Order: sequence, then structure tokens, then C-alpha cells
Amino acid sequence: MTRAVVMGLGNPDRGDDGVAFHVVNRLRRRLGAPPLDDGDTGLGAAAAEAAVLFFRQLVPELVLDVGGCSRLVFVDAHVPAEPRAIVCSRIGPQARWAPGLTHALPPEGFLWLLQAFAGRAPESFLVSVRGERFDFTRKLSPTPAALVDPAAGVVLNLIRPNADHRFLTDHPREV
Amino acid sequence: MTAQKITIEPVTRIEGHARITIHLDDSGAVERSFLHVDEFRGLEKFSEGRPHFEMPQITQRICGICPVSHHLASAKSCDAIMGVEPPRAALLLRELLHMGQFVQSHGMHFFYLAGPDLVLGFDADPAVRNVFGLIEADPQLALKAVGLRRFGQQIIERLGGKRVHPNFAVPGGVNAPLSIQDRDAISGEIETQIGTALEGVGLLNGWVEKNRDLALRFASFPSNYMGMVDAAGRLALYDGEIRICDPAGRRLEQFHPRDYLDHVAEHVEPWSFLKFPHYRKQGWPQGSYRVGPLGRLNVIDAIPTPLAQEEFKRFRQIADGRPVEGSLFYHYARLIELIYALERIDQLLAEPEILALDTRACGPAEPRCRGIAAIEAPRGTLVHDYSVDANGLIARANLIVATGHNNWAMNRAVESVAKSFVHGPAVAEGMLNRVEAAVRCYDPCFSCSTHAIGRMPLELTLIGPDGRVLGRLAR
Repeated sequence: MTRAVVMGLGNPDRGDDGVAFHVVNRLRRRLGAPPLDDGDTGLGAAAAEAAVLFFRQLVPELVLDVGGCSRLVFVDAHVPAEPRAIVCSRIGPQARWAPGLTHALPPEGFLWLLQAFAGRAPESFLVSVRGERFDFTRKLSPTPAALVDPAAGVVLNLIRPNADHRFLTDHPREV
Repeated sequence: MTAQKITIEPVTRIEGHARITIHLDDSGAVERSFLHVDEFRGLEKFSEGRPHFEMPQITQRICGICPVSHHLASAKSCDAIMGVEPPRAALLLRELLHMGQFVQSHGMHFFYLAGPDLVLGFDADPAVRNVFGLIEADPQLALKAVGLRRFGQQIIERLGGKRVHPNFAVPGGVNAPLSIQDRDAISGEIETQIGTALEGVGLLNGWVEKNRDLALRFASFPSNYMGMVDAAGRLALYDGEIRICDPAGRRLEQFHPRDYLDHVAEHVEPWSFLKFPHYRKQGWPQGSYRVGPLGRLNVIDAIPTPLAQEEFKRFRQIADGRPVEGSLFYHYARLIELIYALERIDQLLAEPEILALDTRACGPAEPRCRGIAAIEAPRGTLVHDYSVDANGLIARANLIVATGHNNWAMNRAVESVAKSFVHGPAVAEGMLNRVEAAVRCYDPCFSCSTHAIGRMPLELTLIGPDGRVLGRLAR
């Protein structure tokens, strides 16, 4: 497993909920990897510096795909109730966010699974971008579209060995 | 005693949204119960006007758990419309995809959904009686279970590009051959995964040993059964004839899927969007039957793979050769089918022709205005029936989905459990768990069966003879 893994999360058919797909592809371009096509996850492809992946949702089986990484960065959208444009938080395993079924598995629950199976969870971060519209469209709203490049920069900094933690907002996340 | 009604909502660890009402009589005993499915999606209607060859992609969006079943049933219907027979390599590859689906779906249901009830007990706190509680109780087994489901998903991904909603089957065949590398990668894991499935059988049989009386009595009732068989009367999941047997296991009917309307009728009740299919000749409700793992194993004569056949012989001993009636034995039947699916993957990969490059029918076709096909989905028999106009656009679509076939049986199971555990308006948590467990035996997918939008809650309402709502439980 590569040293760092980036997992973009969201639904590109639901407007700004898919902003992570664009962040992931911007990041892949910066790392010299081909962009993901619609429906691609990036799993199984060789990655030098980091595996940069995208999923519509987290499911338990993905634990086996990313287990063993040293650093894990989730990229997601957040709702307008959170006023900050980009939120970058350090997160860890939390059983209470590992609900009974897998219809919704937040990153903290996913990390709990990683810890349960592997004995430890990697150092982990969540970078989220403020969305404005989550209806049926594949287009991003102007504001989150303008945040794609800065968000990719935040993630890039996190996956580099000497990460600059000045980006961390370190405010607890509301789920 | 005054009028009483119990509602359970939501029903958890199922796919879709259900609500249960239990009606009590003057003495506080259960008089009747209803499993309501309140979702509606109307997929058959909005398919009208679409080109038929789009249907394998459209219909699989009904579900994220068993999209492959819809994908393949739809492709088979399109074969019939186009009047083509896919080449053998395509048939082998479609079946391989189907077996991957069975592995991931059956593996998920037993280990993620049903397993927690068995490992942690029906009376365990619902907050921990789930897959995460299972992980804490037995992390090694849980890790293997996750690996098992991933194995099935990876087969789907290798063939269809994605773990969910693959792009693979097309009218007349499949859109890509199998590479040697992918064949070998799948082959290399089969033995491990069979080991996990056998471990699941051991877990279940251990539980049955300790709870034999409960296993035999829980939601146990006579019914007809329906499932697909091959030419020798053995278990068939991709293609075959449909067999219906009576409660004693005697064959009532065996027919080609295209003749399903001669044998299957649908009844409508005003309190549910989910219809009630039944055996037409016996009428409603006498002709009700059960499908899915228990239904299939109660109609077949044998299973054409060795390990599953050995387990099937033990299954048949439960009721001395007669059909097994207890709903909890759905879990056992499901695990036997899981073993079959894994062994069948091995058989399919051993066929040299599975690597052939000729994966689509070519040559003369005889287009027809109607295509009907059936497949055994993990939850039971799935029928896709399309009529098209002169331009090949869908004029009418009819889908009968496994959960619909089991609608009567799920209602019967809920009523059976309610009569055992409900006495008066006070509803104990243990009762709620058991009613849920009865529904869960059937692994229902209400999203599929009503073609519905919704989450998966369960509400239980208690109602008395005068119709007054006395209590409501919601989760």
C-alpha cells in the first residue's frame, strides 16, 4: 500500500455533493496521474506518491483496499450551514459513527473499522468544501468550483511527508 | 380490554422502508397483522418510451444490492426481443457475473444483517446488535466476511468495470471477454472464500443446535414454494424452468418463464404498494408461495456441485425430506447457495470457452415485439417482461421481483411471530426484535419490489377492534 491515500467522496449527479470528484482529479493531474472517468474509483492503478481515489460512498469492504496506508485524507462536501469555505480537520476512529448498516458510513466509522481489523488506524484528515446546491445536476455551483484548486492544494500539502499543519482548522465536525 | 394496535417502524437491516401494524382483539390477543410497504417508485411506467437495449442499464438502478440480477434479467429479455442467442462464452460470463452477485449479496446478508442476531442474540441491545457488534465479538470472522463480500464485488468489477451497477451484459451477449489474468486472480481466491462460507455454515448450525426448538417453530408455516431448476431438476440460478411445489413438496407446475402469466397472478391489497403474486390456478391467497433460498431448496432435486450438495442432503433431513417450513432456515439455505455460487465460479472458470473472444451474437436475428425472461436473484425469482413498438421502444414493462413473491409469506411470518410474542398493548423490545428478525429471514428489498424511493425504517402500530391506535413504536 502506498504511504498516503486520498479518498474523495460524493455523488457527482447531485451538484456540489460531487465537488470531491473534481478535487481528486485536480490532485491527480498535479501528481501526474490520469484523471478518473465517471464511474472510475482509481483502485488497482499504480500510484507513486499517493493513491488518489473516488467513491460515491464508504463501505466496509474498502477497508481491505486502503488498509496499511500511513496517512488517509478524506475529501467531501459540507452543507452551507457550515460557513467556512474549506474545513480541514484531523479525525479519528469513532464507534458511534459506525451505524448498524452500511447505507451511510462516515469517515470516523470507517476508521473505526480499519482500527478493528488492522489494530490501528492511520493518521487521518477530512478536507471538506462548502457546497451550495445539492439537486440533480452534474455542474458545480460557481463558489465550490472556485474552491476546487485551493482544496486540492490543501490535500496535496497533507499527503506530503512534511505536512504543513497550518491548514488544519481543527474544529470538531458536526455529522 | 380496549381496542389495540401496534406499529413497528422502522424495520431495520432490510433494504427499503416497511411498517407493521398489529391488530389486537378484545382479549388483547393478536387478531391480524400487516406488513405495509409504503414506497412507490413507478419504474415500469417511466421505462415506457425508452429503447429496449437501454433497459439493462436503466433497470439495475432499482437497487444497489442486486443490480446484477436486474441487469441480467433485462439483457435476457432483450435477447428475446432481438431474437438472438448469445454465444456460449457470453452465457458463461453472464453466469459468472451472476455468481459474483450471489456471493456478495448472500455473504452480506448472512454476516452483516442476519449474523448479529445469531451471534449476539435476539435480545441484545439494538445499538450493538449489528455488524459492528459482530466485529467486536469476532473480529477475525468479521474480517473474513468483509473479504468474502469484496471477492464477489471484485468479480463484478473485473467483468463490468464497477462493483455496483456494472456495464457488461448487452442484448445478444456481453461487451467484453474475460482476460486470463482476471480468470487466474478470481481462481486464486476461491478456496479461501469457500472456507469462509463453510465457517458461516458452522456458525449457523451451532446456533441451530443450541436453539433447535426456536429454529423449528419461529415463523414456521406451510406454503407452496417456487424456484428455477435445470433440465435435471437441479438448482439453477441463471437459466431454467420455473417449478412450483405444494406444502408437501409435490410438484404442482413446471413451466418456461415466458409462460409466467399462465401460472402467476398478482393480487392487490389497499394497505400496501407491494402486490401479492400467487399461483394462478389456486387463486388468492391459497396459491401463495415462497421464493428465494428456502423456496429454491424446497423445490429442487439436487445441487450440481459437491460441497453444496452434501450440505443440501443435511438440509433435506431437517423435515425428513419434506419442505422445510421454518423461516429461520432461509439463512441455512442462503449459506448452501453461497457455497454453490463459489463452487460454480470454479466450474465456470475451468471452462476453456470462458476465455473466448466471441462474446456477442452476430448473424440473422428475428426481432419480436415482446421479450420475457426470468432469473433467480439472490432473494428469489425475478421476471422482466417487455413489450416494444415497431421502433423497439418500450411500450409496456412488467417486473415481478422476489420480495413481491414473498409478500404473503412475510406477512404470515410477522403474524406468526406476533401471535407468539404479543399479549396485550405493552410491547417489549424483544418482540420488536423478533418481528424484525422474521422479516429479515426473507432478506426483503422493498426498494426493488416497489421500485421505490425511501430509507429503511420500521414502525409498529398497535390497533384494537374499534380501530383506535393504542400505541406506536418507531426506530
